[in-house]
Amino acid sequence: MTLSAPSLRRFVRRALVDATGVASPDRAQLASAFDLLCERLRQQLQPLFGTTAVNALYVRAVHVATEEFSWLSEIVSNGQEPCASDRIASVEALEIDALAEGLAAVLAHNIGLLNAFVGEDLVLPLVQQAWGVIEAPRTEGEP
Amino acid sequence: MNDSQNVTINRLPSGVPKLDDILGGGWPEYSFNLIVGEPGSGKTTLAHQFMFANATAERPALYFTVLGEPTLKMLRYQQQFTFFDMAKVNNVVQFANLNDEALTNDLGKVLQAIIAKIQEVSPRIVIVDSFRTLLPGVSADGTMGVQEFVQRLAMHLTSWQATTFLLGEYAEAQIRDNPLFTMADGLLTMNQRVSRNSMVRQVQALKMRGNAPQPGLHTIRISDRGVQAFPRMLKPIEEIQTDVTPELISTGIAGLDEMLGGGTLRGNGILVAGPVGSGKSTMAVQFIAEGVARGEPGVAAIFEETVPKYLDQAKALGVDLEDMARRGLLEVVYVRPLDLSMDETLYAIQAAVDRIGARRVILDSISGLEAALAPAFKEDFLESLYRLLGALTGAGVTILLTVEVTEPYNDMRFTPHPISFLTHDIVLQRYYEFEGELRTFLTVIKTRARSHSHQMRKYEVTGNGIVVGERLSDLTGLITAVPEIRNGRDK
Repeated sequence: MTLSAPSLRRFVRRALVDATGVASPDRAQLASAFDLLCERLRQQLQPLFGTTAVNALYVRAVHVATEEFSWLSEIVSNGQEPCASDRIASVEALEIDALAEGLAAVLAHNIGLLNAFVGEDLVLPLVQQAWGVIEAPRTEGEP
Repeated sequence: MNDSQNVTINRLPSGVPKLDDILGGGWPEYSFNLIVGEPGSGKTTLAHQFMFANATAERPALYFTVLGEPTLKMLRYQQQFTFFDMAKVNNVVQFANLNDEALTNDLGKVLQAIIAKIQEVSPRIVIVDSFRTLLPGVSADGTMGVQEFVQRLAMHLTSWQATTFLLGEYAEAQIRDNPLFTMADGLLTMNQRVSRNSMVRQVQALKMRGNAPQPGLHTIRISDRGVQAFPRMLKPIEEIQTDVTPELISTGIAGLDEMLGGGTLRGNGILVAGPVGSGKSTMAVQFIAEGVARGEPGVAAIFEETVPKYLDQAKALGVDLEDMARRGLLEVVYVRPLDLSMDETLYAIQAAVDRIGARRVILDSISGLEAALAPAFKEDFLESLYRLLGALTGAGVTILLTVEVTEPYNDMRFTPHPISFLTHDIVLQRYYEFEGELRTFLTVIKTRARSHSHQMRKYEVTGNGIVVGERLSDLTGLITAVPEIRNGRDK
């Protein structure tokens, strides 16, 4: 199975919203949920891959996501303070939906990079375990 | 009477075919082992094979990576091997990265991290990869030195009943004088070197407490199945010898059978020596076809021609080797040429013999086999050939070997190697010039335990194979290749 980026993105976005605990989260709640998922993922990955590798992948994920959502460069940490979301809540010019999509893109690219290196069969169980989600991402065309 | 009960040492399979033979039965459970070698020699792969072969719910495994290959890369590449079982990862096989601790250059922290993780997981298999990267130099600042680190680690791991491996990047020269290596129960070295255009990889069990390992260097190859080992020593020939009923069997060439004293004896090695194009392979094909016709499966180990070409040449003689193979009566062994080790070749042939229960084997030709060997293995050629012939003929398999003779015509050597002592029967093919034609004759040089013809008889390679003719009784000086006719006629 090879996950397409859109389905992985949808999976992450669902997890992000679920982590807020509300159906229609505000900026602060999204920022907090992003921090939570990002930090849990790091905690899951660091014992396996080491801090250096996890940081490097995160920085690359932010870089790739920024090409699509340029505003990410202003509000998401470049890796010096991974997962720091202080600035996210303060960005009021962004639509909630765009903010959720951009944040989901960062985490989805992070997972996508790991998939590319060591494969979904190894990575996705780690992600599900880190985030406490049972649902797995679905490929295009799957119900 | 001694009532004491000696402890039984359980041995765990290495997960590498034939490596257990080298280790003396496998890795002793709860042993503390070092696997050392230069980068790229296969240490990580070997350790993974062991881990995936042995990790179970009752025997979980924990793999520490330090500063060597990043875990991300390691997992990426190890997945390519067929032994890698994804279902075991993060289940009965866990990986832990000590990169952060190792970067502090404080071995105490590394040890604490290892101990903490081991307490958490309670593994029965522990692997630390790799070891040299832990060496911070002399611990003049009072931090834990590497020797103390290894000693403490070994003690902890032993008390936790874990079978442990430290992988180290050491050249062999660094091993012998290093006190670290005295602590280990087992020490396996892995080396690799480029010999002209060939990569030669070998392992050596320098130490194996509780086991009786096979001494010396043994060839390994790394393929998509991981490390494969080819132990240098087959069983001593005396152990292999079985009682073979003395029985004459046909070579498939009537005239040759007659010259050999009724055929060759089962379990013999027959050497067919001759110049290029003299029909050695034809004789080999007839020999194997005769066996198949009599219900004796055969193995054709070819080292010169490619398989399709060889099959075509046999078909031109009316021998359908492909059909024999389809019927399970023949296996053609064609080992990738030009970087072979003898041991690898021996095992390929032996395995084919075992698979189909072969009674006849042809090695066509041993000149080609020698040419296919990596340069580093050529010096072992004769010894290895001796072991192969001993193993097969001792089990009652009859072997026909061909060898190309390139010596001057007035020099009556049989082969470029002193291999005649390895075989029981020797048949020599030669060219000679007569009436403006290049013609062929053959003679039997020796046979085992029976009398044979001493005649020089002409023969022809026909579309139906070799046809042996009459004795060349009216010619003298055949060995010079330019004979004279008796009764005073000119050449």
